[in-house]
Amino acid sequence: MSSPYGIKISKSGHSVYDLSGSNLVLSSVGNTLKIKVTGTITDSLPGETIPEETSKKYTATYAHGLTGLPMYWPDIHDAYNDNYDSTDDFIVNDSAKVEPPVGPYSPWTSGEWCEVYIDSTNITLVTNRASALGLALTFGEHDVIYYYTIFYNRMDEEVDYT
Amino acid sequence: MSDVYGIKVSRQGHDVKSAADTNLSFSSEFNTLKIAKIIDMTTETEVAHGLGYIPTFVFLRCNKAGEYMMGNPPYTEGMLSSVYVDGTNIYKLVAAASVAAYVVLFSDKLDE
Repeated sequence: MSSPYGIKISKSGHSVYDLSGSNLVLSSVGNTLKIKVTGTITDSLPGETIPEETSKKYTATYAHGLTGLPMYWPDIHDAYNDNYDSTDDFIVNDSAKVEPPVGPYSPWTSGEWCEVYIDSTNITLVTNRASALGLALTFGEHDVIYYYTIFYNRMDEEVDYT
Repeated sequence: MSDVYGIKVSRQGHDVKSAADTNLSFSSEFNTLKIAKIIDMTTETEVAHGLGYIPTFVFLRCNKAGEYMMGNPPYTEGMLSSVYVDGTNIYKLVAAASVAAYVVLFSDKLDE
């Protein structure tokens, strides 16, 4: 046995000596997800009218303070705010999987939608505001809020615990 | 108590003998996601994962230079470098150039 220390806990009905990782509740041979921090990132957006065929991009960041590219949650792609003209705050997480409407001025070229990405320094909330072809759009003053979880686990480094 | 073995660790300020599940840092009563492998798929479109079952997975992919997103790309980008798995391989769909992607495979079965 190469690692003569650690903990293994098996699922009920399975032997802890079973080598299959899928039958273990926990094994210190591998790694588990460990939360570093949870919090919010807020884009505070003004009320404004965006002229036709133009767009704006707002960003807000949180410095994660970790090495490399850490895992974060939840993933946000094209989270669309149906009430972009409202003064109601928009919780990005509520719309994490809501794709922008498809229509004559879409797809994804008008309205307000968000993305989240990470780099080696920050996790960044991006809010896009865009008008439509031949049509100015008016947007409400509101906050766009993203609730994040950042893990200590680095994703850009190959490992093999099997 | 039906399970007379296991480990519980409570959060600070909570008694492990009475703490609600949400106030436990760890309980072996529940399964824990266990990382089996992290695979760099940047230059790959298909890699055998060797686990023998469909694993739970998440992935990080490059959106722009230095910017990475968890999960599948925004619809605005089509399906560029979507990642999926089966019982044998990890696959990365690539529409054009090679795109950096890191896949985290867990020991935990996805289809169980």
